[in-house]
Amino acid sequence: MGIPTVTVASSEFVSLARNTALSQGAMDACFVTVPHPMGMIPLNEIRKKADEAFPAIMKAATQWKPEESKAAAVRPPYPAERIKLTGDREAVNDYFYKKGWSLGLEIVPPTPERVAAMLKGTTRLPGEIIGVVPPRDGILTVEMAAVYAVMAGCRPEYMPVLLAALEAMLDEAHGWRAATTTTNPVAPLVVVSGPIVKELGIQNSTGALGGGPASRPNVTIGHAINLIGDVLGGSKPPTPDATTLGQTANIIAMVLGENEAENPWEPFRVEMGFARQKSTVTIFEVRSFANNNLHDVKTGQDLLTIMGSVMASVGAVGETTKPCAPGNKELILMSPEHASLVFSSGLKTKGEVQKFLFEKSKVQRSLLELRYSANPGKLDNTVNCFKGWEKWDAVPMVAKPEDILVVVTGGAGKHSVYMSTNGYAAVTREIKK
Amino acid sequence: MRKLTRSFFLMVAAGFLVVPAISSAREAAQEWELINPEGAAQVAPMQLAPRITSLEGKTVVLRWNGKPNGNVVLDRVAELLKAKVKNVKIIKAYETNPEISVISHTPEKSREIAQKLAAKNPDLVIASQAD
Repeated sequence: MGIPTVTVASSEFVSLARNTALSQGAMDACFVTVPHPMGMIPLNEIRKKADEAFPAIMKAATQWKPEESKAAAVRPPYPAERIKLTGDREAVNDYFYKKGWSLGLEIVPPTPERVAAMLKGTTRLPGEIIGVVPPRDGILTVEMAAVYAVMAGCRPEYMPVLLAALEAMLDEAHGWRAATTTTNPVAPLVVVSGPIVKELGIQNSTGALGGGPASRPNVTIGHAINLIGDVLGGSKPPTPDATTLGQTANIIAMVLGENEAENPWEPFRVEMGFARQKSTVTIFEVRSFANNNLHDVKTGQDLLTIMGSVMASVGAVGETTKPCAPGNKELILMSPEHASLVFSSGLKTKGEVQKFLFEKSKVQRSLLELRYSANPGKLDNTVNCFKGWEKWDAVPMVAKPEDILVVVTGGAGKHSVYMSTNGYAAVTREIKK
Repeated sequence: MRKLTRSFFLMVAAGFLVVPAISSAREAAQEWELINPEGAAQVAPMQLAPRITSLEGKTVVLRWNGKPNGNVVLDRVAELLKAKVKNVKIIKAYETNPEISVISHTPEKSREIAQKLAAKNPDLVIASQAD
């Protein structure tokens, strides 16, 4: 656009900013760094930081020159480059780890033969470009997905699930770039619904997210997803993935199946607009994992009232309400026993459950005012759109009841989990073989 | 005591038998042909705008991404610019267009924000992140 810029960034996040600029094609960009932190410090301190940075801002505005732009070496996305190594499997793993091509877990060396065998799991052509993985904007071909599937230990028949999950993640509505660079502890969660759950043996009952001998598809698909995000997408901590703490699901993404046999309502994929005979993946980016350990409630209404309260506390006050975030969905992973209680208490459709949770997860505006006490405009204008609400009003954490999704999964026991999300849409894709 | 010495001797001897077995657990070195997982990245280098040589009489737009205190930094920068630069015109985009005081998250949103800033015909944009 031909307009020069100067960007002020904190010393802890300037690297993330540079990487973001790089991914947009700015091989160099003009930054002025101020010592971290900038947020949650007294007014006089932040003004002092501005005073100290001002000479550098003036100099940057009038004198800064970019280093001569260097076009990145253009490498065709397909066929992928082949490399030669000498050593045993351990040496291959050491090499991959040192190059930043693995996440610390052992990988299966991606030989051309293994990749060719993996590609037999899909009818799609290896050179087809699925999309561009942020923030590095790595070009994801079907062949490259197969490379990572090999590395993660997938079987060829898992390829359609992996490809569908990646397509869902690449949908702009999913917000992959935000999820993978934020300071929040965000990790992908994939819900698989349909006949393919049984066909592949995707864990959907006891320990659906807990590993175990029946979890091979869950953990290997999850590992492949995060390898692709972190290596091809180039997003590993500390930069450009700036997650303050992170979570282990950022190494092995959470993958689980719907427990359709014990789901008293419509299958999840039907709720998401797909035919009953199809199989689908739905992708979320989740922050918190809040268990509802409820063994002694009498009715489904009691149970949902408590869950709503947990959602309000964890998702709305602890994180942020998201009624302005277009398409945002929150997620409840409901155990079959809890689902049965809710159903037998008279909530015969998911819509009724969603309406109940919507009412019970409302939060008092005064708590949100505390949350944004240093930045009150944010509550009213940009993120939360709560203009006009009074201090003691109970305000919703999402825009409408349908934004609270409920998936029946897991095994015996009275535990359901609220997964707060990163403020983006839950994207569903059909799994095509 | 003799029994203990004998046990110790047997344990050490067993150790000699076991160590070579552990060593041989490492696979033999081989030549590998592998596919480089780094792949290609889509980068279209952009040409950056040239600097202006003076801010006098120029229009400076201030852009805030909504992170706590970034606006305070820009407010102070605005005060200092007005005090030190003759006839500088300051536009605080976070006051004129609060809807763009957000993190863009997507290239499309970045473009939309950039277009709204460009519509103010600035000679320079100073942005502040924070956190």
